[in-house]
Amino acid sequence: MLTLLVASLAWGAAGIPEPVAAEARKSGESFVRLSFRFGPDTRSIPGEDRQAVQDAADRCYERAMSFKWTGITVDPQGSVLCADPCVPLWRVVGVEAEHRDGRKVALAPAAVFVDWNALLFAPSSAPEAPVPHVEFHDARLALGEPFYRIEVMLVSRDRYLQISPALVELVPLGPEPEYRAFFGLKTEDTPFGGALLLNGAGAAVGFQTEYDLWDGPGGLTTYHPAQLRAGARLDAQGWRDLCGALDARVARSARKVQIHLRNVKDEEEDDDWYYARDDEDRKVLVCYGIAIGGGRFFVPIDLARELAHQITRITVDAGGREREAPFIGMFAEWGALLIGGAEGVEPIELRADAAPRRGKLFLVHRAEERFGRLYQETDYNRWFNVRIGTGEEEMPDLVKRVNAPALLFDVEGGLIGFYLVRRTIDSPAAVKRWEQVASLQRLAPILADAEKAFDPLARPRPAREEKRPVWLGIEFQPVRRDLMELKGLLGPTREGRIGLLVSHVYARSPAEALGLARGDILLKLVQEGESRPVELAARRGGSGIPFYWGRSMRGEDDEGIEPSRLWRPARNYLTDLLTRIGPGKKVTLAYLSGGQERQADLVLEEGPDDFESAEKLKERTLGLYVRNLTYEVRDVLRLAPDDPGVVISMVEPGGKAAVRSIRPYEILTHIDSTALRNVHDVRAALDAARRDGDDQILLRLWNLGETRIVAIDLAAPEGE
Amino acid sequence: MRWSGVVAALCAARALLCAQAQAEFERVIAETQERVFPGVVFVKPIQESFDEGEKRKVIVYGSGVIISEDGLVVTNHHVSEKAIEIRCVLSDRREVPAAILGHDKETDLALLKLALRPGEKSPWVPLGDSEGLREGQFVMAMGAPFGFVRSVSLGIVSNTRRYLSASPYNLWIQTDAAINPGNSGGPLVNVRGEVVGINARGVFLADNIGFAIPVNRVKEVIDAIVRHGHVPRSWTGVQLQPLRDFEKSIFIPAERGVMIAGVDRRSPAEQAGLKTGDRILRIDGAEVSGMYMEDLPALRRLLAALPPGRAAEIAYVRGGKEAAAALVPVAKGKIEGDDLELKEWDLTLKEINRHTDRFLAYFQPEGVFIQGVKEGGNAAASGLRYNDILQRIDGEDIPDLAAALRVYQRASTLSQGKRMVLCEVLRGGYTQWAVLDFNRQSQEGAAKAGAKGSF
Repeated sequence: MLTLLVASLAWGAAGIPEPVAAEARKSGESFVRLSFRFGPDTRSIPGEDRQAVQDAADRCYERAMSFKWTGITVDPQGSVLCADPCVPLWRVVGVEAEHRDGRKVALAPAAVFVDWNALLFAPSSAPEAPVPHVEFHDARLALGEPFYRIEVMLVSRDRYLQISPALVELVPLGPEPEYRAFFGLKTEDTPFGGALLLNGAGAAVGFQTEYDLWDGPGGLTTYHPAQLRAGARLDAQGWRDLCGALDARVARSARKVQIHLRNVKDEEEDDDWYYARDDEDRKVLVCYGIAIGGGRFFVPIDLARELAHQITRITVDAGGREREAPFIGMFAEWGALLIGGAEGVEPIELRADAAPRRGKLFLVHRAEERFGRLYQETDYNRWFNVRIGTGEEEMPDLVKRVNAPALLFDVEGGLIGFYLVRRTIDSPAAVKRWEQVASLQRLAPILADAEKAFDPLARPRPAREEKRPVWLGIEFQPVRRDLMELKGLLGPTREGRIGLLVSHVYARSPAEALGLARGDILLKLVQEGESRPVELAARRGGSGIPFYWGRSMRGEDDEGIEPSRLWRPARNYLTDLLTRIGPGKKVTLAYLSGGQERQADLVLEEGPDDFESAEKLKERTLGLYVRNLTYEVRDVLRLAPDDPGVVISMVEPGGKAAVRSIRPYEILTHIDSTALRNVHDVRAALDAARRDGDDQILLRLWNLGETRIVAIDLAAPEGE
Repeated sequence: MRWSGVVAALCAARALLCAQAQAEFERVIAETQERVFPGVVFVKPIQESFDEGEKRKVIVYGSGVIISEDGLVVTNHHVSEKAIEIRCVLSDRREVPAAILGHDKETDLALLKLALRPGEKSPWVPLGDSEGLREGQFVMAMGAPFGFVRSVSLGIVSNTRRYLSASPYNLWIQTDAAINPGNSGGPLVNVRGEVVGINARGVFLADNIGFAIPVNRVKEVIDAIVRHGHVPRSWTGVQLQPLRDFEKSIFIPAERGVMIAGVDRRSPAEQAGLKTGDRILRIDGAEVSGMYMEDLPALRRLLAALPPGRAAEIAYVRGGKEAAAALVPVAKGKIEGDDLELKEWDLTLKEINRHTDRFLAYFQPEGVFIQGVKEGGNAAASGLRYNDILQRIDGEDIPDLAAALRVYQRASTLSQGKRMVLCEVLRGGYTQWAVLDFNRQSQEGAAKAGAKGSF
């Protein structure tokens, strides 16, 4: 210890030993500036509209791009070793090394180290003279031994040599770990292209890169020269062979999958998805599934539950034909589906122990279809770090960014996992999403008993059913501090931060059955089996919508109030929350009534039809769309349950109804003398009038107590 | 040569005749103006407005016409409504105060009385007959457009029976004589110097489209106001619809009568059993015709003239069959609610009136609603809005303005820092709660020594 101390004092007092400084300057001559040239996106197909598929990030690769990267020459031919810059491999069409003396040498990728995040580049032509290079020595460093890290920093066109002295402060006890030669250098600095390590005599004894690839104490990855020489590598041919084998392997087990959706409204469209259209102009999600045995395809695709409801059919490509594939289930925690239809397709092997290994290279394969063409890309990646995520789960960080979904393979071509969207439902009020590695080690048991892992509510549903939210049967407004202060309820509502003030209770609703009344304040609810209650706190308007009277009520020459949609949407903060919990689930509701705290248990149920899910009818000849009068519409319009009428939901511009100034949200109560209970009555009345040869019918329209009669003819418009 | 002389002579004669005709025309115009102008007054009311959440005095201007030597002046209701003071400038440039004898919102007419000196007789203009008006006849609009007093504009009658939906009881004379703001209440005069209409409206952004109330309707209203102080009308609750509506391409297949488009809830018509879709053929034996929109005002006048409390026989058709009903109208009563300013709260209230506030009345037939919310004021900051129906304040029902005033006065005794009330309103059919915090106002008010409420 004393020797060590004296040594370190002497070291500190003497500065950097001259041999080290001399060797450092000499080594500095071996550092090169690297420029990478990128080519066009190889996924592009000539003739296609590239603008449509290329995002802004891609555009930076269209021109030769030089960024600050360095490498070191390691042999007289001028081969360059550098840390992996983690660029998309398929983009690199050329690399150039600029030496200290200004010479520029073209390089070609020579090898990727399988176990270390470093690349080797070879000169495209032999040099005229031996190139200054680093000679590595196999010396090992002992605990307490000083060493020096050499970097060359590029600032504009200049180069700066930096020497950082350090001590070996960490060594493994017991047998050396697999990765060996771990110097345990503790530093926050991250060398761009790599740093050279010199011992006290100035000999090069190691090469250091960014990223912590090993399961050791924090530090940077340091390579012993012996490992660099002996380590497994993937050269260009090897890479091409591997990619080819991978494509072939994937082709045997993967098939194109088309998920047909009901007409999704534009605002529901996810910009990340590419939607094709089918013959009826409905949206189709195109993706790929991989056969995993049992006649099933594993389809990595992240769908929101609401989108799953909209699935009308699923097909898989069967040798150029489309074959129906039944929906089996959608995973609750992973962005993936299971579908059938994989009979006759070679399943891919699912090895239960397969997983990406830290630091070790693995392959990432993505396939997507755009404009009818298949794009496949393969790149390599590694994971280097572990983050602790939600629920203290370990989540590896990848050195290169990957877009989910992707298939992960080892260098032998075996599937080791997927890169998927992961979901957790923190509480019924919050769903979190992120992308992460899903190894087979983790997924295989789930796939073996997939049913348990499915989201029971994420299933295709008929159009009307999927629109019906789970309800309590109330309208509400969020509480406010001043409101609660005046009512003396600041305590239970946490200073007015939580609570939904009930403003209306619908008849024959769960709320009515519970005895909830106007003025009650809902505070929390707890799902059976959960310990954490959800505090009810709608921040934006609650179930309210801005109230619009239409044209001015005070204006003269007023033709009457423009009918407006007075009723509130059935989907609001509360129904969204209850729907996420799901029908059939039991919850306990805590609320205030008359200032007293109470609790009530209830089993959640889907609400009755509302305006969105109401049965509807499109009457093309008249240019009218009508829907049944539903509970919330009747209530706000003060219509009795047996008052006749259907709601005019849309009027076709220029149609017969529009010409007669029939407007949306008027209530159609009668056709001739027939009272209309629902859209079926509308259809029946129109059919009867046509059968009777009536030229004209009388529509009776109602709008907040005002009625009028409109005569309209039944003849089809010209051209129809 | 002879022919050219003849042609020249004829041309000269034509020119002379044109010049003479023009001169004659100008003489007629000038004489008419001279005859009528002395009876045209510039009306300068100071109105109380409650629209913007506070009671404000607004100076407006319009026109009027003196119709009797003792100083009766006809003007528009919208010129003189809620006036706390009216001054009229006569043709001799004297400013004379005037009092309101009565007004009728539904025909937009008002009758004033000039405060003439004892024994003074004022120039006046006779009321003509609008029945004989024809399209194309010359008319003059007199008054004070944009305050330019003693102006006259010349035009023709564009239409003698124009229907405007906001006027239930009268049709309109449409003219291209310029009628601008300020002309309201002034006379529309024919070339004989007779008042054939009272100018009342224009169309925003239109060129030369103005409207005047036919003088025959004016005479009816004036007569009623003189006798009763207002125009008594009956209410039946029947909404009418013509058999032909060309604007909306609606053609009811019938040749007689008028359609009942709707029956108000809790109305005499509802009690009589009349229903939407019935077609009225006769009222007390008299055939009625509502073929076109233009026929409706007369029918409404007929119904409004039915004596309240006395059953009228209504013959109608329903489902192809004739039937009869006994309709007992009631007095129509007020057609506009009273106003109230609650100054510290920065809002104004108004009574709901089933005739004027039909859609509010649908949700709540009686009560009060927020007529105006002062921008940046306490009510606005509390989230209260125009057209909110005020149902309860601090748990107390608010059925009328008196109740609102009671609660307001009681709340004004709350101490500083506690000046808040809980308002429950009906907005768009839904109940909402809001805390009306008026501490800020009271702080400002306390800073101004001697400030008082204004209600």
